[in-house]
Amino acid sequence: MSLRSKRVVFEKAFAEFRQDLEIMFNFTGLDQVSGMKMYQLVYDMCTAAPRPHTEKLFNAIAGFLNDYTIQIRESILNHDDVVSAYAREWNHYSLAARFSSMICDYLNKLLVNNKSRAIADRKMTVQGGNYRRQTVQALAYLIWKKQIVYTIKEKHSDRFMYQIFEMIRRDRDGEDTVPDVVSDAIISLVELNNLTENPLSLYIEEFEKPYLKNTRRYYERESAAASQRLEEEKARNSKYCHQSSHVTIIKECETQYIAAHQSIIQGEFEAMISNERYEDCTMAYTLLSCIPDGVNPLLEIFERYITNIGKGLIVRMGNSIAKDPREYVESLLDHHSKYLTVCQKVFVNGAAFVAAVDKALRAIVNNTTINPLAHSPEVMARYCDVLLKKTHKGGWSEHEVEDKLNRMIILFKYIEDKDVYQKFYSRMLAKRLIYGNSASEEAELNMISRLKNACGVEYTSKLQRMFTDITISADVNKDFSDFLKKNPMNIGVDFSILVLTAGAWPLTQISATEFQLPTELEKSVTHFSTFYSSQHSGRRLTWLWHLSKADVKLTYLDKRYEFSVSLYQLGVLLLYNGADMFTFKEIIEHTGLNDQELRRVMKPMIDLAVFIVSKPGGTLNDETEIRLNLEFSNKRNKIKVSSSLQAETPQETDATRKAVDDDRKLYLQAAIVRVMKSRKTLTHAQLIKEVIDQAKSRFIPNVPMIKKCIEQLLEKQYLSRTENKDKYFYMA
Amino acid sequence: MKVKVKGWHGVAVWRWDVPNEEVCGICRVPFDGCCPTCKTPGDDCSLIWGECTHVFHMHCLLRWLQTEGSRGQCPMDRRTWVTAK
Repeated sequence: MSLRSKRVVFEKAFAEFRQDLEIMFNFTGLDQVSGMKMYQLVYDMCTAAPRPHTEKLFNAIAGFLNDYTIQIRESILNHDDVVSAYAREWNHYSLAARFSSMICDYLNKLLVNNKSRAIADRKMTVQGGNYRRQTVQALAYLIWKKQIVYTIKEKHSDRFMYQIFEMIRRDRDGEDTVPDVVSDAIISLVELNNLTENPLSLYIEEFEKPYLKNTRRYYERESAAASQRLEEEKARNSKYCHQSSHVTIIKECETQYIAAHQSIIQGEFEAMISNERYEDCTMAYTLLSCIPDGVNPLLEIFERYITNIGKGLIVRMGNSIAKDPREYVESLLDHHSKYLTVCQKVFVNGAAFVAAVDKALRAIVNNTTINPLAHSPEVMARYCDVLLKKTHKGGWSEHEVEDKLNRMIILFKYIEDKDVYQKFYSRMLAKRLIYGNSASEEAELNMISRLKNACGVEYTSKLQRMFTDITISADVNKDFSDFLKKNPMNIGVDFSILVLTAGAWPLTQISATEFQLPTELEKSVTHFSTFYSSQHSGRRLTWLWHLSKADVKLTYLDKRYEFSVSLYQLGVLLLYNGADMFTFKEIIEHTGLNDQELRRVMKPMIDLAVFIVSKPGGTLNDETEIRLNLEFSNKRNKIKVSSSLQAETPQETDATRKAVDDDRKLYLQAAIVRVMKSRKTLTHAQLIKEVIDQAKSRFIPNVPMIKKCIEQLLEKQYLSRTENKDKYFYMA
Repeated sequence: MKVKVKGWHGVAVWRWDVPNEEVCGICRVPFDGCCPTCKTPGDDCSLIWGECTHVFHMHCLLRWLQTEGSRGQCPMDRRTWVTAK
């Protein structure tokens, strides 16, 4: 063997090489081929002077393999038994490919192992051809895949795979066993991809996926057949058995036939639901309901599936829940109704399945861990608020609102912390009533009666009381104006009032502000107070300035403006009758508001440019000079300046949550006293159980909280421990 | 006058004119709340003052006066109950 490079006429050398290759691949006359000679030819071509024929050689080999595999394909397809022919040819081809690749070792090294080439370069196709740089073996596999596997699949109606599946079916039906060639053919799919980055992808795509599909179809047919067999058996029975044995025989058939397939059906059930193959679901249900406890696993799968999908919905909503409660409520309602329909249609409205839907929704609605914003009682109360509030843009028709609220009750029933909902609902209702922005009284009352139906009179009694207060207040206003007419009094301004029952309204005064009532309003307050105490003795009035509002006229501008402001804002505005500029600190001194509140009420007026501040943009501090804008102008004459102050603040939300906690403690203490009063003595465990039972309809109390309440009652000496300390007894 | 008040709308709450956190001597429930037989505090469950200055939920007191043992007396000082005008 000579290593020196020489001139080589490529066409001549390759013709020689090709002849030997053909002999190798055909497995005929192998004794005439010399591996050494071929190796030398490859070496000569690759080192030829003046320039090597490396690329040319590679492309020529590819050309040979393409021609060869086309021949093979034709010969495979000529056989009736494509699978065996394929397996035989593949055995030859893969062997020949391996050996020829060894012979082309030098070429392979030049193409692939050349370290000087960048990796990116290796990905590139070989100059003058269609293939990437790779070993001859990999090239041979690639060409086989293309010319044989894919071409048969696409152009020859997938005869190859069809025959494989047919053989497997015959094996399943017990007609024939699968010949070994099948496994050879299938394994070839793995070998073919051995030299690529995803060795199993070809196998998965071409065999595993269709195989799974096939398997599923097969067993679907099987279960259909099972129902049919049972029907046949019934008919057969009535033909020749005595009536008395019908039931037993049917039972026996069912158990034997179905129990055998039970786990397959159960395994497939989740896929049936998620792909909405409801006919299959019905079949699974009817079959399994024939055997004892057969349906239970289906119930579990069904419930788990609904729960997971619902939780997924909530996770996907993310932060949007805080902005708009509608998506949360409505998509969960859709989710609920979808699976309730499934219960009706698929599971003949089986009570157990409906109960599974209930359980799933309860789990979804009361879960607070998957999305911290999905605090359902709060979100649902806000949903009602959105629907019941006056809307400016379009909005819903009365009918739509009723519809939505009716549906919402479905979801409401799943809430465990109904007391939280109640608290938030009543706060929002209070705001709607006080600010007068409830859309319709009828809708409000309907909603209350829905809640009453769901939770009882006690749950809504305070809500109802709030409405009564509004009605009573209308009478009070009328009586007061009559009173003013009869007496020689002039209060100077229009005045109306809401007088609310302290205990029924969820109004916590957040700040302890000593608001300085503007002198303009003093008369109305004193006269009304006198009037009220003359009408109702034994009552004390507390004015809630922060909820009061006023209408003012601005007279210092070219145009006449009317503002609707909060009473705090009024206090600030009236100051400016005395001067055009005050510092922030001065306003605080005059109005009695605290920093935080003043900032809050100033913001809308500064945004509107009623006032101009000395340092725009920054937060207001004591020295900030606040000047009345004497050039104020606006398109509209009537402006509502107070609306942004009516929105719920985070502090209010926190206060509401805390209020719920306080209420719970009181409720638990009352419940403990009630239980102990009737039982006299109880063990700790019994007491806890009874208290939980009592509270269940409002909320699920946690045990530490109950314990704390028991301790408090022990301190207050409502209860006492028995001598051996294992029981409590009630002290009258 | 640059700013003139046209009208205003007040909001006020009323509670019974009794010291804060005082409870009814009969049922021990705060006067802000209602007696044990009622559901909502306020107009539906009013208070009653005696000339002896003692005060109770009206329902609680009337029920007390109906019992024979009461002999028509105020439960706090055993003076004959006379409702204050």
